[in-house]
Amino acid sequence: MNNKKFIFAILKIALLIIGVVILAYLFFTWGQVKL
Amino acid sequence: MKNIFKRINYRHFIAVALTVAFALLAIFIYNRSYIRFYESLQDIYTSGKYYIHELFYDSANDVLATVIEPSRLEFGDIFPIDFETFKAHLAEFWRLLFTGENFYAFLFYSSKFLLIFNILLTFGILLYVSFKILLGNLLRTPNDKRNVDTLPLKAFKKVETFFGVIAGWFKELFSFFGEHKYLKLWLWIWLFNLNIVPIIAEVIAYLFYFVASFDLAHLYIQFYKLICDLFIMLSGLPWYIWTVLAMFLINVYRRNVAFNNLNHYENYDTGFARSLGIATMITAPMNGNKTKLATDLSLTFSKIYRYDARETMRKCETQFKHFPFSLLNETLSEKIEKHELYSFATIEKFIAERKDKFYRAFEENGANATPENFIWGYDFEKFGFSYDNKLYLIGLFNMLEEYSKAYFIYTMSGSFIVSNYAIREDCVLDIFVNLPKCDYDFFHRDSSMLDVFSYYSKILDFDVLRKGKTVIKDNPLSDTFEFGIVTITEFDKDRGNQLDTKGLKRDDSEANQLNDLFNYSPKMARHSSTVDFTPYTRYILDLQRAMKTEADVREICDCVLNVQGKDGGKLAMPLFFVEEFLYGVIAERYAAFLDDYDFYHANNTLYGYLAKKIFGGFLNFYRNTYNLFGYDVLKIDVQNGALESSGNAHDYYIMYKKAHSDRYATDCYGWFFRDEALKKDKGISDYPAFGCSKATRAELHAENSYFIRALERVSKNKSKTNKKELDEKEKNRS
Repeated sequence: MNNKKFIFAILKIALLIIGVVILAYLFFTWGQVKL
Repeated sequence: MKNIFKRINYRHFIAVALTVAFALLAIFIYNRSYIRFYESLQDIYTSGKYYIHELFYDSANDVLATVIEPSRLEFGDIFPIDFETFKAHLAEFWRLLFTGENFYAFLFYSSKFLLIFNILLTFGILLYVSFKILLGNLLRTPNDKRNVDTLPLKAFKKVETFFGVIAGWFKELFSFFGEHKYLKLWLWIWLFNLNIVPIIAEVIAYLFYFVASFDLAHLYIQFYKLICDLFIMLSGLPWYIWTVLAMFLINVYRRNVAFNNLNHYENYDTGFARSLGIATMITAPMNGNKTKLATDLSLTFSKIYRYDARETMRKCETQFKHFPFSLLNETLSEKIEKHELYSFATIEKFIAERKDKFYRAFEENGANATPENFIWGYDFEKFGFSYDNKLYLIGLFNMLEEYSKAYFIYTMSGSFIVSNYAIREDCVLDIFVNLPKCDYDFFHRDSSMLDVFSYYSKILDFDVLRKGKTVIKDNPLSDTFEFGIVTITEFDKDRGNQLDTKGLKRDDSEANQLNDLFNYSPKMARHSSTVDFTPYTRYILDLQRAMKTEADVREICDCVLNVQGKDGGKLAMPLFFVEEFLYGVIAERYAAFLDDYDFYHANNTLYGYLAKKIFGGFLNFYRNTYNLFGYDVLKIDVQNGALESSGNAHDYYIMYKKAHSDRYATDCYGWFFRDEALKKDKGISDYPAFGCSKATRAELHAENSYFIRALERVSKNKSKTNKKELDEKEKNRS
């Protein structure tokens, strides 16, 4: 197994998950806005 | 009536039924999209009107551009309709974003998903652990019934065959839909159903409006309309279909990027190849990719030659635009087929004869003289005999000569590569009406069809390059080499350097490295191979060390490429990290599983079958992806032939799909060893082995080494012990 590629893959997946969570939080917050 | 139904393929009925279903969906479910489509057309019309009025009537005040008005559809409060409310929303949004309670609310909200995730994870882990224990037991239960399927496997295979038939039917149906343009039709229906066309139409409408009005105040309403349109689009399909669709589109996108990258690297390599001179030497240690580089460069040159020849033809066609080239093409192709034209020399002779006949007919000047017959009916009186390129006048017959030689190169069926090892080529010459079209796309070749369009390089008879004495006296191929790519592997072994040729004599009656005048060939190559000022000859020589050749041939090479190393195993395709991760997880476990499985089982089990199908299938997919889109970067040090200049570093891209697709055998001299080995009835398994970690005297003697023999001689002289006594002692010891 190519270790470097595997570690980079894990990092990218982690970034993807973080991105999705942040996006979900932004959408959620927008939904909470009440004037 | 019945006959008509019978004659029509039943798949058409399915297609029509599906089309009707999609149309019904359009009417009953996706009607909002069509209202939006109507509105967007209206927007384009009014914006266009606004644009024309502003441009030609100075003022467009009386035109109402509907693009700045919201849709008539009701969207509830999915998004604030005016900019002021939006600003207030945004301010509140930023305030909320960094408050604790909002964050906790988010956590609480997402806990619903987390719960599902947790349950799945727990079940997953439980399943995995129990499965592993169960599988471990199953796996370690030996079974010696060779190639016998277990009952579950037999049952599974039956089910699989059944579903395989259904899947095959669907596959056929799908390709039928593709063939009959149904897929295209449905794509358009769904582009409308999912409100994608109105989004594009609105952008066009606003562009027309904006360039005439520079109205930034209504930019927000465009944003609002875009959000509404996206809302219609996304709510058109459930999330899981969107996920599948997104994955499909990502796959299409990443493959396109990969092909673009490969083409980019190929162009980069081509640029490098063009910068090389007539002769190039490639050096590297054993297994250092030098033959691979030589082969790759040869293929690149082969492509360059056809492209350059075509460029010359295009130039001729443009300069003499009234000349009937299609008739000339016909004559040339006939004469090439009949083997009347087979070299530059014969082509030049043919054109010279035509020229001669033309002028004779021209000078006759009688009523029956038709000189134009010898120039394919070209109206030379009307269109002239020459073309002025502002450097000199190009005569018609000069042009014909260059064009015909270029035609010969461009349309040649077979390889230009003349090599001392076989190289596979696959330029596809697509012959239709007039001029064939050559396709050098290395990356879209269907690997299962290689046999259909492959051809191999020409055998290099070294005598064709010997201007002096030849190995075969009066070799019929001597002096026939005019143009082509000469690729020689292990060049040093054939030519040697001054030390290697020390015992040879120039006046020897047989050909040798000193009297064959080989070096004249690359030195004079340009003179026989030039078409339209471009030499069509390259010498690509690969060897381990540049100094292993004589200085003369070394210095003919304008470049010595020394392969220093490589940055290997790269992938031209982006967004492959999920597969990369899965490969990291699966590969080692699968290997360990297979080792155990093959150790304990001679029979075929269901789980073994499934593991090979699912995990093995994935590994195959992963490796095939690397075969298609993988590449190595060779680190090359470029020096001049005298080896005096300090080297320039250069990257050369070796794309697997181009360089590894059965291009050449890395063991091209293998037959020599095989033929000799077959004569013997022994192999490595029959070699005697050492008895312990310290060799005995007899074992050392069996090495037949000069060194050991010398030691034995010394020892013999000293102790006067002869070999016989030694053997006896050994016998006693064993």
